[in-house]
Amino acid sequence: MRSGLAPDILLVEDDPSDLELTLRALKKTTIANRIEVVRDGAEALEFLFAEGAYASRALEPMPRLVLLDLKLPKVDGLEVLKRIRQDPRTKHVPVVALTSSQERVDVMKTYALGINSYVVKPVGFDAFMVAVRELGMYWLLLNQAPEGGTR
Amino acid sequence: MSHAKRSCVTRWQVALPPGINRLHAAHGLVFGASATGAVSAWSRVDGSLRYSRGETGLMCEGFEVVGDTVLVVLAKRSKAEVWSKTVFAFDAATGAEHGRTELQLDGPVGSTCMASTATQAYLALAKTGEIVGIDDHAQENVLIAVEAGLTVNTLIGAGEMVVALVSPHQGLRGYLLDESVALTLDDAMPVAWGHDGLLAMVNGIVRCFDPKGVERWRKPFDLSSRMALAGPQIIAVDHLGMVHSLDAATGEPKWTVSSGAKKPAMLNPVVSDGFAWVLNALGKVVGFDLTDGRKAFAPNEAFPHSRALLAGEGLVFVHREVEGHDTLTAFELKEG
Repeated sequence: MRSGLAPDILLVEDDPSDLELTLRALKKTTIANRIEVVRDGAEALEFLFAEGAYASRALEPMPRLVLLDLKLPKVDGLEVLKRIRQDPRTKHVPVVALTSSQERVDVMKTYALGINSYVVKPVGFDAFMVAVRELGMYWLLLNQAPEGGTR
Repeated sequence: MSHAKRSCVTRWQVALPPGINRLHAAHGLVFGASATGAVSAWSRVDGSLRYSRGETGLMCEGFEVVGDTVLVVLAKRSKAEVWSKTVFAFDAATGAEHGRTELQLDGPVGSTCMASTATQAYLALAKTGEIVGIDDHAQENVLIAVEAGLTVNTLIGAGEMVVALVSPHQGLRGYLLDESVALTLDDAMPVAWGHDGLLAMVNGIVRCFDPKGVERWRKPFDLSSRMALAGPQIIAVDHLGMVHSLDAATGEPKWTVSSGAKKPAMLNPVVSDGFAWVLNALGKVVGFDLTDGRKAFAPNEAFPHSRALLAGEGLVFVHREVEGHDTLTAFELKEG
């Protein structure tokens, strides 16, 4: 989806099947009207910092949520997360890692870098749909962003 | 150096119960702990379920295998807060209970984290400043006071140390069994740990610590690098998919080979039976001979959605999704 409005969710996912499932789940919830999809870490950074192909995008407001796969082409998900947290313009944007790895080292690395939530992609279509829907509900409806934060 | 003809074949494959989030191979078994409070043990020989222990309606907040004992922390959640936590100890081989202790809690304490060294298990409660040692009958045996003002987020066992990941400084604090402080690092994250010590990253530099927390060397590595400690060697897969063997004592390189993909590995490498196993960016598990880095053998399948990789006692295990089910596949290494 590409429009002039800021997205509710920036979805950073390179796997076509995971991308399709996540989009289906989010669209079913109807809570996220605007979802921007980028397919690698470099494009995610360009989008967030309004650079490159996204240079014409207004930097503010930021997405209300970034759903971040950690294993990304070009720039790794950990590096994307680090850059988001280092920059004052993006440091408050909620970032949720949505990944297949359940290794403890990955959980620890992402939390050390300031992830808001680490979610292992559930196995099976139904479980995946429920998880993504609940993630969207929590971060877009229930979570209170800091004043002057992402909106 | 000559190599005998080798192959890597599937030995067995089992569907795992839902929610398995920790696996451990030891004592001829593969243990799996589920968030819903069950610990199951499967035979390494044929994948048959040996036993399953746990209490329904509870949450598993910690799981460790120490020597012959499995220790589990189960939490009972009331509507608002967790108030009740019980540590269970049972025999790893048979599942027979060794003991249990209900933790004395003064109020809501948040979640529990657990870790172990080769000889000792520890747990910490999120909102307290203490790390408690647990013996093989689930009784408290050590009490370590964490530096005032720090919150313990999680624990790992590294060599003889229990290492706490603490906030607000995103730091690491390592303690020995005598309660002395062995390690203090701020702005650090653990990269790999085990009986041979700790690898931690600080500002893009990996720092290697021996089992007592003494620093051995420092080297720059990319954030996405994957590492494992393996006795006298460190195995590191860098951001370009190159597999390096480093001398654990000095950090000097011993050999470097390609993982078969020019991107970071999907999971940390594992080391067992003289081989380093790497799940490369293409989802292929590749084994490398620890002595010279020669590619030893690899299963033909690719595992792009793997959750965990472990190895031990002649088998390599991959936890992954197969046709919508959580599955554990065991690969056998065959020579000749």
